[in-house]
Amino acid sequence: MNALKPSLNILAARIKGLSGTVIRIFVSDFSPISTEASAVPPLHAPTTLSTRALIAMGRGLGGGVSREHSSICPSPRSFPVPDNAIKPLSMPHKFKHFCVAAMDKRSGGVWGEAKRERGIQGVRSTLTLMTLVICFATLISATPAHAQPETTVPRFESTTCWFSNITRFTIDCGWLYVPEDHAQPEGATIRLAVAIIRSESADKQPDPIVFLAGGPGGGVVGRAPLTAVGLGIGTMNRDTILVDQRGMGLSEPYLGCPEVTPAYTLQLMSRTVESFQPFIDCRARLEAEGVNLEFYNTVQSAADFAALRTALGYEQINLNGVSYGTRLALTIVRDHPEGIRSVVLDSTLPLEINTNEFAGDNSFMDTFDLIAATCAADFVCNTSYPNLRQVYEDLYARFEANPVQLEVEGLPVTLNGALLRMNVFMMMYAQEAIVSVPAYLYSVAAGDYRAVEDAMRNFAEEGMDTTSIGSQMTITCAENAANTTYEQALAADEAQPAAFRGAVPITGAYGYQACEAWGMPEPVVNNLTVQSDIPTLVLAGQFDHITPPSFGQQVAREFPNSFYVEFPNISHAVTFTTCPARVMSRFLDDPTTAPTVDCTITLPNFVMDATATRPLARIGAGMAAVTSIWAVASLIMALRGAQGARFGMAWRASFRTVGWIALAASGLLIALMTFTDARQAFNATHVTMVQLIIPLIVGIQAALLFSPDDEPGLEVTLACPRPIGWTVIERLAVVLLTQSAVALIGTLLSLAYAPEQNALEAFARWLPPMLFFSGLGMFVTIRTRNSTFGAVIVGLGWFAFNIAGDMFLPGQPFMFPLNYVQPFLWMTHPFLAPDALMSADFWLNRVIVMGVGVMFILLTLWNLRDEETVLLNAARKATRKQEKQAKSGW
Amino acid sequence: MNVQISQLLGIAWYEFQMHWRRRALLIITIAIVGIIIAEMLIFGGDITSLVPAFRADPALLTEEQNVRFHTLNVVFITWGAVGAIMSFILPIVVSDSIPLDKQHNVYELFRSLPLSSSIYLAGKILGVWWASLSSMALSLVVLGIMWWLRVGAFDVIAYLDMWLMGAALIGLLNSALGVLLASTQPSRRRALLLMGGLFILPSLLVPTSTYDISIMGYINPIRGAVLNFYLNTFARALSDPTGWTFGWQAAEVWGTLLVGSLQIAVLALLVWGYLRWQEARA
Repeated sequence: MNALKPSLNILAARIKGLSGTVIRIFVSDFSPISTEASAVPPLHAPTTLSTRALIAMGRGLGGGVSREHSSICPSPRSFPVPDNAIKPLSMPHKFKHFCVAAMDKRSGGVWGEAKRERGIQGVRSTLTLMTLVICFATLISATPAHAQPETTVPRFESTTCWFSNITRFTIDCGWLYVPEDHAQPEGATIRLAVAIIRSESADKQPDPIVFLAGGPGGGVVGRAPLTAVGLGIGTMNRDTILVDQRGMGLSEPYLGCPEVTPAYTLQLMSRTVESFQPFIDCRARLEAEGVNLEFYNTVQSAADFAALRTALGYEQINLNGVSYGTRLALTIVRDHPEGIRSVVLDSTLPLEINTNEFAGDNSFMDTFDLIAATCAADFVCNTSYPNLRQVYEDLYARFEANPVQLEVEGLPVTLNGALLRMNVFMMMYAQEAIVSVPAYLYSVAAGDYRAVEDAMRNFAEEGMDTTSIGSQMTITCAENAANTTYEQALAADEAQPAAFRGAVPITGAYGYQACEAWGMPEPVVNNLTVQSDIPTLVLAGQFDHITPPSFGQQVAREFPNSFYVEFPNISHAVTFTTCPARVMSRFLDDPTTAPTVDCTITLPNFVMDATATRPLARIGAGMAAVTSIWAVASLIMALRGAQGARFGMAWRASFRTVGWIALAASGLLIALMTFTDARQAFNATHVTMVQLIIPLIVGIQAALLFSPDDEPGLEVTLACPRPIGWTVIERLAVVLLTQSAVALIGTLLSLAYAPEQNALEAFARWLPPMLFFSGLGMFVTIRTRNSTFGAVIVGLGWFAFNIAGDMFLPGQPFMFPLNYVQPFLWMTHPFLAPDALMSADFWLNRVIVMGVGVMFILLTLWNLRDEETVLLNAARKATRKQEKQAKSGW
Repeated sequence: MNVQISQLLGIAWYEFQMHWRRRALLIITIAIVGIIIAEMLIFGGDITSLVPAFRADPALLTEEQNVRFHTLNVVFITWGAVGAIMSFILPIVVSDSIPLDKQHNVYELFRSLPLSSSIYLAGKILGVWWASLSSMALSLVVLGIMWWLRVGAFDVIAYLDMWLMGAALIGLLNSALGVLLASTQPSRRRALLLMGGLFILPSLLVPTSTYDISIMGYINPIRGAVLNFYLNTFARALSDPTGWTFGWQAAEVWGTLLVGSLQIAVLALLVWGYLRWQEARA
């Protein structure tokens, strides 16, 4: 089983905690890098540090590779090296690490343990300098003699990729050297990371697609392999070029802000920060490192992409901008239209839009209302989550008036109106998260804050490490805030209901204040309307709450050779979905013709959480409790009656029938799991070991307790003046009592080894499934008259619930029509973990599972009520079949 | 026909019939088909639907790539259930072959006949293999048709390879082990209990890692080497441009066959000796 589980886990990566994932990527973004890829765990175990990572660390870029790699990528300290990687640091291993440590210290200790000791110019600095000189000399000596460095810009230099290419596609990497200020080509030089995903198509076209990432602030080059696989880029008939825009991703310099710590980020999310000091510190550090922030803007970046085309020698290129990338594309079209064959604008952000006056567009509120209307039109959603808008606004007001203090990863989080608003806003980015909004709001309203905690968890762990905050601030402040006033930004905010205004910290009046703290730059006037006759495809999503379809329509009007396509049931960044990607591909093949749209996007079913189905669970639990109580009462009454009828209990015979093998096996397994690492084979822990072993063994034992076809001396037993059901009850009692004793010891051991667990919950983990599987085993055996069936069904059930138990939790993506059943499955999950749902739901589940078990036992006894049918067969139909078979001689 | 061969085939035919008449193999077949159809419904025939980053747009793939992609899905989804059932469930289900003879006193009848222990044992194992293979063949055909209807064309050779070199190999080895190990038990109840323990304990005592196939992956009746080989085929083929590795090309499969055959031979020898000893004692 353990052999199956890891692989299944990888492939059954769920959308669990999606809101958190989405927020992780979008916190300050106008577009995702790839919402989808973020759910994927690393496929290859990391091996060691890459040379690129070492160099990045040495240059003191604060954040190094980690900024590029969120949850999908290996940790920066173990960044994988491709097998064919050139290793310029051909120095002894220990020495290499010494160099790294020294360089790290110089960089301000972002990577190592060294503290920031700016200003100390003593012996340590001298030693560090000497070390760096030696390291540098070693690096120089490792460089081939014939490699004379070229100094002209722009130029492209190939290099080993910074990632391990796990895909079947060929990906080439390199540096694009460009002037920091394109107006001064002889001035300072910066370099941008570039990855080229080669097309495998036999019909490969010479003009590549240049991907312009959104944000601003995110990198894309580090994700090239997953992007290639996820978007099917490698199968398109054009090369795709990914570039980390200046200041972002792997490009150098990198304008990350490690000063914005996770704790500060959490405060920023709920807008409870006392000041913007970390931003101020970040800017000061970047400037002290010689970064000229005024050149990190969209206009300069557009010039970089023009330089990219000439440096790589392409006659023509196609631009594919997403979100902020569309603004960059529009700037390129305006300033450097030469060599642009076609443009794809996905989720357009027109140059005329000022993001600090952004709230005035109503897009957040309109999209929320669209979700509410869609939910209202869905019978199940409407029944479970009515009046969504009202619920949200009430909730917002409630948390604004009475914030709730949470703790995530040991850091405080204030759940106030602002945080709720931002969470809802961020959920709207992804299709899968949109359908979770109703369930999210209702669960939060019911006091279940786990979704909020999940959403904040990534921030608590990493802060905003994957975003180049410096780039984001320089671009947005210079191009938006600097072109408006605080009063105008505030007025735009106040035109909206409080629950829908300026959700993202960098927008609206709050974003204006942040820019003021950062240091309001000189305005970069980049808001002129662009008009062009370059063939353009404008794509929009119906649920796009940040760059609504009206933005795309606005731009399409200015491009006479444009085609506008709006996709229903999707939000922001539509080309990450297959249907729009297919439309884009058709357009690129023939940009002069409107692409055929022959596919649709379906909105997944609204997620039903336990809150929605809880009323039914209460009814089920009530019935189960009544049944169980009735069963126990009946048993007691029958026992008393049995005493009166002068027939006693055959305990000794029952013990003999049940045997000791299973009991010994339970004890042995629990001992093994407690005292050895054998539990790892089943992915068990000290907490889960008892629930894993006892129900299985008891279930199999129960299946073997009594089968008419296997029972020796059945006629004699039936002839005795006592109900045959007593025989089963006696044996079952022996099994349950003895195994419960073992389980009790196991639970005590479990509590001793994992004292953090709740004792009551520890018992509730195994008791209901034990009854469930014992009832199931007995019932199947009696109905089929074959104990093998009972044992097999118990084994399969146990296996299925253990392997795929999480599929029973609310919110899992089942296909139609099982999606209508899925929300109810949690009630009957025998191995539900106490923390998987709210405590109340866990206990409802326990009662129901136990009740189902008791019901199976009662049904078994019901089937034994007639001795004659027990002896011959349980069903007359089966008897006839047997007679028929006997006649036919088979 | 040689008398011994006739006896062997007679026992095997009897065993084959009994396994189907007891409906245990019917349950196995239904379980395999049912679980995989449920997976088809849940995943929509595409396991990658749960991992959007790996979701491929069929329109962007060539026909060959589409077939490869479907094959990956078919093999992975099918193998998950089939491999587990062949490893854990089948040996338990067929383990009552000899104990039931004892429980129903048929064993006494056999011993009164001029039938040697070796023929009896070999006939039992052959009968179990026959019955197991017929169950697998039924599942193979039904599921093959279902898959074809659900996802379209896939590589039938790879599909057959998974059944023959994977499922059949594990099924045959473990069912024979099941019959032999339980042959000393007097009743079905005892046999099932014993086999339940014997096929669950090894996974605890000798953990097999998905990514590290050690010698234990061959010795352990869970057959981790083969299980992992087909599970990893999915991840490997996703990223490996050279494509597919068939079971007959894999050392894991041949190694398992070798080790499993040795295990059966040794165990058969021991059981044969035990039966002879019992006969002599009687």
